[in-house]
Amino acid sequence: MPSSNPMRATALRLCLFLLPVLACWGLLEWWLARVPSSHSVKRVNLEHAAAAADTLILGSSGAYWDIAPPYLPGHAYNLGNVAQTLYYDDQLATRWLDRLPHLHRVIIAIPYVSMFFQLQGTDEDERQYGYFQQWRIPPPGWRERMDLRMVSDVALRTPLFAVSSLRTAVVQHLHGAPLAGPPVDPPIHPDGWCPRWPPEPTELADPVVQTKIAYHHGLMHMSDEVANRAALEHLVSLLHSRGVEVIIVTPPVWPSYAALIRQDYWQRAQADFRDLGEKYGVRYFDYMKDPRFSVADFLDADHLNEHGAVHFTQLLTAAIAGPVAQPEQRAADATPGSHW
Amino acid sequence: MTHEEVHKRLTAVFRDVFDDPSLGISDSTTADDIDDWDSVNHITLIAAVETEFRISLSTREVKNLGNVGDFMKLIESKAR
Amino acid sequence: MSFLSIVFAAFLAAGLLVYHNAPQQRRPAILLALSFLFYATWSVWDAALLLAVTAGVYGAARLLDQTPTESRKLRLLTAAIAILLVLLVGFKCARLLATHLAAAWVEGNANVALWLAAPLGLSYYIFKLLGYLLDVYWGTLPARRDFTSVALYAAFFPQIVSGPIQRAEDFFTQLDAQRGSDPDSFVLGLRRILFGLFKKVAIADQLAVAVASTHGHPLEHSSLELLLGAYCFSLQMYADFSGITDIAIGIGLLFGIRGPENFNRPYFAANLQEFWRRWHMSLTSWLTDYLFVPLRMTFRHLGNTGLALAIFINMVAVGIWHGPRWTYAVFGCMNGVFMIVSALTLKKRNQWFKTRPAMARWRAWVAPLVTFHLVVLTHIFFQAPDLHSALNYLGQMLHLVPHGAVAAARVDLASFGLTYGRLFQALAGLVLMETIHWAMSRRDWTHGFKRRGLRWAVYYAVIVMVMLSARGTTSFIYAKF
Repeated sequence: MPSSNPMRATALRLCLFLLPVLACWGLLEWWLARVPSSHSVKRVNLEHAAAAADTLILGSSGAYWDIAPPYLPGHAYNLGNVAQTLYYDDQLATRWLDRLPHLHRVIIAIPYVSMFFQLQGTDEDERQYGYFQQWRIPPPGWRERMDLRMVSDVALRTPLFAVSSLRTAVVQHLHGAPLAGPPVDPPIHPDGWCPRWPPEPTELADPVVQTKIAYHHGLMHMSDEVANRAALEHLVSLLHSRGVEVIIVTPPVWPSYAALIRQDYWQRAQADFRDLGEKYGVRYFDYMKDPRFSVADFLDADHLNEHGAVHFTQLLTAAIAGPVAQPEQRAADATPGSHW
Repeated sequence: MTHEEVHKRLTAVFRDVFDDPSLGISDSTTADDIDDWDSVNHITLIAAVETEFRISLSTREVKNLGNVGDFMKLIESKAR
Repeated sequence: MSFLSIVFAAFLAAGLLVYHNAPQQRRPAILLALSFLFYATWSVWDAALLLAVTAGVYGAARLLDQTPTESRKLRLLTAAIAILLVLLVGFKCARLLATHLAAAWVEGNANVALWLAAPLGLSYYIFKLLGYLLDVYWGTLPARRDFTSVALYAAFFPQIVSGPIQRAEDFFTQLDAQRGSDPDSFVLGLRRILFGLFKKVAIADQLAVAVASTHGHPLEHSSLELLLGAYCFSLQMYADFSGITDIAIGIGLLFGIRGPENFNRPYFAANLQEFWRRWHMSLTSWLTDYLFVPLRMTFRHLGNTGLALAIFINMVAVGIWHGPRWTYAVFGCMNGVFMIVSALTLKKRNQWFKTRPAMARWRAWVAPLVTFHLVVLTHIFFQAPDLHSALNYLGQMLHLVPHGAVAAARVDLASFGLTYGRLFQALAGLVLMETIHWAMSRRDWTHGFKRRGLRWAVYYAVIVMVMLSARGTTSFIYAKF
């Protein structure tokens, strides 16, 4: 029995009503495809750098901000990003391995939080959709795969951003500028690095540090270690089978932050790094409490500013310099706290 | 007890509970017609009716009262 | 799936297509299937629980109707009620118990929230089924013969997430009426959904920014700012909750079922009893009919003490319905005490004002303001994560505990995370919202909107406002209950 005519008429009117809304939405989607995001910029930059890159840097903001590719030997590309979990590190490297013909070294920055952190259910979980839209990496959970933000950039970056960026661009265009979206802020270098300047010294005050580490502890769960360990091991074993050297590094943090870390979590992470060192010859460098960093190097309690990143990368380069060590040598090197 | 007697005594109870000496009720009066007749006063009314007519009412009987007419029928059936 | 997601929109569109193209007799079954499909995407186990509980209540109700003896009826009823309440309390308290018994496991495990969370809509469907059972026991309603209608009543998906709690009689009457597809009700539903979205996104979420700041970091704010923060929370909760109720009622209307209202401009109530007759009406009227009246009947010969006791228990129930937390219990107690005082002195107050007509005119303005402030006070406890925070907030707001460098009367919007623009938008939204609520209570309010062009212009304007205020996914306050 077909629906009655008044109902059909109402349904048709509804479709008619929605047409302009969908048209505007479509326009905004078209516009946002032209507005860069950190993911789109990194992807485009990687496409240009892939042919020559011999070192890949992975990790969260501890890599993205803290490791400066120009100060590493050869051609390095920084593929880290804010709150990038080991799942995404693994997926990115796995998918791009075949397009990096000269790759011989991967440096993974793993700070305190990373082994015990997943994006789902946190404030940052919308980043999962950026990875899908730009890199085609699906979120691990099935519920997230049903979200509108998997396909709609307007929903992800909000209609307000789309409209205001379009309005600004149109106004500028009328004054002679080309029609273009706002650049990514802070700016990203062609080698993928995002140096942070100026530093924020108020972030180093004790109460701020305590709040921050309490927030981090709220995000960390021992039960997340299993999945993170599996992703890391998958990545390491794949790279090892291709003859790519893997180096894990923990970037420096402010002493009052380091004093508040929980030993049960940290010893567990260290044990994981040791295991990987024994199985795959992964070298580990722990700079968490390194005394050579001063207040001039830090952006906030757990990140470095541009100056600090340069300093850190130079130290790291010296530490890993020289020919790749023999297997017995590598196992001896991979004790916690070793420098070179 | 005649219908009129029940009506007279019930009106007296209503006037007392709602504090309105001029209040009048008929078979079709409902809670919407009297300002203060809410769930709180409804039970006060029930208690007063029980005392006045020396009867006992159950929750089930009280639940199914629609208007004053139902009320009067209930009282008459109980107060034999 | 949550209400605000693409998959839900697709589900709804597909469901409506199937429903409205099906013959009338099939429609309840289709709606039931849709409801369980919706529920199963949250959790298949919980869907099985819902089915089992509904089957149990269906059976118990039919048995009640067939049992002749009063005493056996009472025993059956008591057993059924006990089981339902144990389920409700058990699930609600599961997390609390686990935290006490296995704190380390709870803390280290990311999935705890998922495993120990009460099934979706537990409070709502258990209350619905309890009400149905009691109605059958009291003879207000005959036990339903067809299982489909009882199952649909409990699982009806627009209402299962956060209410409103519809009465069995009302629901079954509508279901039986078999009115067929009604375009008016469909359009009304769409309007309600739009209105609900507007309240949630353009008003509640804007206020939420201020609330997060004042309630998250009370030490960084002055007393006046904390007071404003308290106002913002009460207003936010109103916009948020009435918004989700509108969406729920609207979605129900798309299927031709009208749910009960939850709000009737509550902040204009003249006293606390009236406030509770206008706020979360489906819950409070349920508690009145199924808890308060029976209690009151039991205590009716205890005079004022009986009344006070019944009111107190009722308000504490309202409080702890929200969860096993001390703050909710205190919220309930405060309301209980305020209501007892109000109820016992109302007659005398009315008499006092009758003899003073000039003051009576002031009373019309002052009474709602006083009531509003009492409510804001109770909300401070409702919102706080624990008693300590609540008392902290209160102490700082009343400047009982001087807090360092922040002057008592400073008002710095930037510290709220608010701009004048956003504040203005929230206030304008509130005024608009209440105006529409007032208009909706008049009969022919849509007279001015006869021209379709004007109506559509208004709808487009609201859609634009909703889009521009939207930020990522949002969650509703009352979906946690």
